[in-house]
Amino acid sequence: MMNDPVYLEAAYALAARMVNEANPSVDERIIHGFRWLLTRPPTSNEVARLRQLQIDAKNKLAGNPEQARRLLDACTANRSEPASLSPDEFASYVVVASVILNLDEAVMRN
Amino acid sequence: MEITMTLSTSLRHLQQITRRHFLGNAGLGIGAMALSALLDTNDVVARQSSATIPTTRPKAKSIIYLHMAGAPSQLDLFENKPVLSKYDGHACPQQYLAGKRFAFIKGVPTMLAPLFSYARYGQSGQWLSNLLPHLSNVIDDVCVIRSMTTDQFNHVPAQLLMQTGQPRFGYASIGSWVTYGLGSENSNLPGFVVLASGGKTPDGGKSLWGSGFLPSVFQGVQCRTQGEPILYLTDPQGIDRELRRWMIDATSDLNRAKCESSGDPESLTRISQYELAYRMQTTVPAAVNISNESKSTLELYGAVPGYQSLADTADDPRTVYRADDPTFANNCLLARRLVERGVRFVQLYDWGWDHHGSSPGESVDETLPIKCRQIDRAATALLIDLKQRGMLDETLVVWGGEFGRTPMMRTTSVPNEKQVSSGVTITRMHLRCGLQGAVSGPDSRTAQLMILAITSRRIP
Repeated sequence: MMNDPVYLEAAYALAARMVNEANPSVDERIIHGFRWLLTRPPTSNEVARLRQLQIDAKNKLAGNPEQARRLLDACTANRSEPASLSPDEFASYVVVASVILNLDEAVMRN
Repeated sequence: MEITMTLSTSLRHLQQITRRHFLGNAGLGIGAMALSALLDTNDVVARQSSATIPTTRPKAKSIIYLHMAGAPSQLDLFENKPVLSKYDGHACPQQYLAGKRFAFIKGVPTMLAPLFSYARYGQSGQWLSNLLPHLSNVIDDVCVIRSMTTDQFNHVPAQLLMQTGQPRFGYASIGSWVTYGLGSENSNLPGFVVLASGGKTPDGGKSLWGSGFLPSVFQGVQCRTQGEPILYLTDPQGIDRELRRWMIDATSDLNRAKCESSGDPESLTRISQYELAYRMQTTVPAAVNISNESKSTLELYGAVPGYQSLADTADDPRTVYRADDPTFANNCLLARRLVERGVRFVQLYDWGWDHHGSSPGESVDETLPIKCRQIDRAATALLIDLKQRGMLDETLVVWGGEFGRTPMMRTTSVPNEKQVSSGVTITRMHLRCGLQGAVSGPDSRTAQLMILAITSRRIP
């Protein structure tokens, strides 16, 4: 599901919400996205784990803006990410949003 | 600052525990009580299971199950009926109609004899119609089971009955049971793989390879013959292996933590599915690439790597069926490659065997020969190939449908149109299993064992 185009586009849209609507801190953005999907706030451990992912992804993509561009292009044909962040930093939130979307708790089977 | 953040987060967490979360946790508590009651009956369970240990040592390690979806006609393939031929065209005697219901048949229908000529083949003297010339060469490696019946005369419930033991949705398929019981021999490939041909998936849908109430990791994974073998297996642009690894690690960590607090084993299933998918990203493309096969193997099956069947894109695939369509052959070869790599259960569905109408694509007299030519050489090649690789003794190959046809035509206003009903209660199935060495033939003990294995699923 992480590779399903629908879920990629959804991750892009969720990342945009996280950046546009939450207070501009990593944790607040993660909490906002998490609540949108799971109707509950994350535990502090959950925030910490996603923060670590965001930092890792941001550092990796900052050194490779071309990779960030290709990732965002793969998400949607109509890119309109928030102007407040660089594309590679925004891409790191897309990575986080994709993980939240793919959590077992978000994928209701039963 | 950090402490304030942590405090406010946990406080908010407590405040926002909703009824939904409460009910989720309450369910766990009740489940735990039920579990403790079940554990008390442990010794009973242990005694029951020790009583059912088989007395013969099973040799089969994997199964290749070829399901002809739509129900192939047993009267035109395996069942020579000279008496029926005598009554061809006569009105059906009342004694066969009284108190019975048949799909599409009203009033007094006329009898329809087998439409193709029969002969006996091999040392076992099996009857086969002239529609399966390749199979006749290996018939001594085949058991034809003539005793199977079903009480379902619509395709979907009949397919569900064959594959899950129940004519209703929601039960675990035989492939998921087998992988649940025996596990997989290859941790980089799914234990249960499904391949489809004939332009459509079977009418019963994905429930035919579902896991029902078993953990969903045991459900069949459908591989496509064309393009990407499994949809969305390839990472999107911009996600490299390192980034993908990080994402799966984060997902698994969060799922595991959630599982520890909620106790829902589906979270663990999802963890293992993402891990398997990650490994499959490198193993599956190699496993399904039949173009690596030698020319002689491709010829044996009649396989054509990369073939794009017209049936896959046609609105009604039956209208474009060609006898030389190699899609089923490609899938048979693929099945051997998967079993070779340790896949436990490979299931092939070939759509388009529902022949109770008029052509194009729906008649016994015109379409059945086309479908037979699509599968005869390939299914035979599968037996020959497995045998020459020394794999036939450990691989059970099953061929069958969900039912057969009635011995009479359906009532139709068009004179001489050979429309038959699918509502018959005899299913044909033949198979070869190396369970007992060279034992094979219509009355072998091997065959009896297999029948039990299939029909006992109906007994609760």
